[in-house]
Formats: sequence, C-alpha cells, structure tokens
Amino acid sequence: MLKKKINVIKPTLRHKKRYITINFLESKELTKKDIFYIVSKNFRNIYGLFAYLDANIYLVDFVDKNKSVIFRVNKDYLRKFIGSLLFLNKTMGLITVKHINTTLKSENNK
Amino acid sequence: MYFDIVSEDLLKNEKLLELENIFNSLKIRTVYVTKVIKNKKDYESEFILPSLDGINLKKAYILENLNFIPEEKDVLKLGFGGSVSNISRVLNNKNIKYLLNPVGDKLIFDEESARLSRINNFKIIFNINLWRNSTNSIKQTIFLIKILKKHMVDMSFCTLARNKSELLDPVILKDFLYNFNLNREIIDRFLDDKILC
Repeated sequence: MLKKKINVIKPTLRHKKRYITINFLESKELTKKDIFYIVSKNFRNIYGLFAYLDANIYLVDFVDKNKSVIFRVNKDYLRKFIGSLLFLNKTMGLITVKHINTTLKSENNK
Repeated sequence: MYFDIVSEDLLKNEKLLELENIFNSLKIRTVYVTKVIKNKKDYESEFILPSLDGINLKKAYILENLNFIPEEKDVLKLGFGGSVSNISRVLNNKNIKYLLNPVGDKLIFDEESARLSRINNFKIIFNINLWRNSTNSIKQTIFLIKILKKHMVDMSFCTLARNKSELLDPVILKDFLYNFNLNREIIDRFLDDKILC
C-alpha cells in the first residue's frame, strides 16, 4: 500500500527552538520583510550558507510601535545569532536583546 | 556590572535623558568619557561631565603624545596604539597601565608585545567599532586574543561610541566573544567594570 503522508517526527529528533525578543532604535520605516531579510542576510554573511540553513531563523512577530521583533532560532545557533547582531548598527541602530525564552507563550507574556 | 568607554562626542550629539535611559536598559553602570590629549593645551581646555541618574560617569584621557601625561588622579589614562612604534612606547611607559587599540592596517602587536604587557601589568583594550568596519581587524583580533590568552594578559572591549547607534548591548557582545574561543568565566571577567581598577 502506498504511503501518502510522512510520519510525525519524534520529539527527540526535532530541533529545539528559542524565541528571542529584540528591540531596535531606527527612525527608518522598516517592514517585517525588510527586517527578516537584513538579519538573515547578515547571519549568512558571517557564518555561511550551511549554518544559516541549520539555524532556521524565522521572524514570528513584529510590533511596530515598540520597535520590537520576536525571532525563532535553533537552540544550537542561539549564541551565534545574537553575536551576529553586532554588525547591524548601521542599518538598524542600537539593538537590545530583551528576552530569550523556550516557548512563545512565555515570550508573549513578558 | 557592565561598563563602556565612549567618546565625549556622544554627550554632545545625543540628549542626556535618552542616553540615561539607554545605559540603564543596557545595564551599563560605569561610563568612561574619553578626550584625546595631544598636548598640554588640550588638557587645559574644558572637560566637564554632566550627571546621569544611576550611571557613574568618569573621565578618561586618550594619550596620543606620551610627552605629556596628566597627573590627575581617579582618571583613566589610555595609551593609544595604532602603530608598532606607538605600542612599544606605551608598553615601556611606567605612568600608564592601559593600551587602547592594538589593531592597525597590518599586524602591529606581536608576542614580544604580549610578553611586555604581562611583565608591566598592562591591560589591552579593543575597539569594537573597528570590527564593524573591516574584517581585517577581526582577523587581527583573533590572533591577538590567542597570544594575549597564552601570556595571561587582561583585556577588555569598548565601543568608543560617538552616537547612540554605535553603542552595543553587552548581551550581544558576550555571545559574539565566544567566537574567539573564550570561555564564559573569562568573558564575564573582561566585561566587568572591576577589570579597569
């Protein structure tokens, strides 16, 4: 009998994720797409294609009023992702890391 | 607690209340404001620091000319590197204990300089903003941190920011420093303001 769906990936094999809230001071109007493009391109320039693909960077939420963004990154690449933000001052001004959490719910509650 | 060394231009270019909020949100408690000193005239010109709530502002002098070293106490005196001859002049001077900027267009700091820094109890301070502008400075920093670690020389990192976008969150700096094969305890020690005592 032909298989039509793949099995659910076991929890032990799934990537562990971290949710990071970042605030930035920038007078330019940046859209969600712009921010994701700038941050992911910067990470790729520093650490390379394979690290970028493995890190699985995803922009979850963007609050324009507070200029805060929530990113989701693989746990193994968390440090590298945060370190890569050092090079974004020219495009995004001063960047501060507000919270790092294991779940989106706890990130939203803060 | 975290500290930073900034340029006096930062206080002129930005609003003080905004800076106070920024430093408090970054958990930076001590800020050294630098003034470049080339001669006695530069030293005698006005250099008054405002007061910020919750932030300890202190004076720091970047000495480009070692013929004149102010005798003021409770002030950070930083010898400016930038070239091979400047670095050897600074490291042989007994009146200062900090070398700023051991990175140049080419490699200007070698093992002998590291050994001399250890003997004379110098602390080496890197300018983070140079990393943002050229990969050559990061390449030199990788080599320098290796030899300074080998010779057990203390080091630290500052922004020398002239405007608020050049400031840096210490959380980001800490995670970036793992790229230089430094461990957590050493990074915490280098970023604590006690290292400049």
